[in-house]
Amino acid sequence: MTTLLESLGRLRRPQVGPFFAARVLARTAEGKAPRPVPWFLWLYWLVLLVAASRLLVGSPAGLAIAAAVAAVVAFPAGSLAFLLRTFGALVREDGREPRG
Amino acid sequence: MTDEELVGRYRQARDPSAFRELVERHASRVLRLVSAVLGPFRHMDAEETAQDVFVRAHEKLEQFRGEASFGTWLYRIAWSVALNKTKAARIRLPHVAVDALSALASGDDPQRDLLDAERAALVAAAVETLPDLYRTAIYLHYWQQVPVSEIAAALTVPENTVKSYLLRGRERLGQQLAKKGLSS
Repeated sequence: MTTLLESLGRLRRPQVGPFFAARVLARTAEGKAPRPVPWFLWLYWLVLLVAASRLLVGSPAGLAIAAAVAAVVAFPAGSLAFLLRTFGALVREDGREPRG
Repeated sequence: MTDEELVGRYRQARDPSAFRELVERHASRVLRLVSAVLGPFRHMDAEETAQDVFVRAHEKLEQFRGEASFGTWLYRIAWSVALNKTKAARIRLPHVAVDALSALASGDDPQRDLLDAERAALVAAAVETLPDLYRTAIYLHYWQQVPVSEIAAALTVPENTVKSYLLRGRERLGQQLAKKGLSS
């Protein structure tokens, strides 16, 4: 078996090309450039925004959701932490045993 | 300068020469690992896949915490990238032609080279059917001619585990090749 497997050593082995590192660096530099967003994606988000706004503005709960989403978008870290704290406090409040 | 120091330098100053140094240090080992995962039937994709590994590592460089060495972290990425590529390639091309390798051998005696290449192609076709870890260990050891200690580092497992992969892989191959009438 070992003899048979050693025949694999006769096969050509890939070698690192002379410009390998340069190609990698070129590709990493390409990755940094912002990619243009296709126009249909902008259109998709616009339609989604209009439809969602119409639904949300129709009720007080919808307005509250819109305000929460806007807060998260505007202040991601701070508002998320606030929402998590509030949610955590509500859950703790619900789970507390009645005193008496 | 150590790998970890180079990573730190790149993170702080975005100095491309630091990342270039890391690529140059690890290119051969990454290419060997990637080639072994892809196998000799897909050796044409090896260099591009090795580049993919470094590009992925570059994207994730901020996540490198230094808990393992940079090499170990990089080989894990290489393993994952190459395995995904080989799985995608198998979906596209589930059966590889045995004679696809006959042109790969080269030496002074063309007739002997052809026979050797045909035999190697049969063996490689049988190796292709092994589980990922056994297949990679066998290709690294017998095709890439990498010592067990280096295979252990590349696969981030102890040396005894590599020896066990090689042993079990050889046993399974022996059974398969015996069925095809090829035995040592």
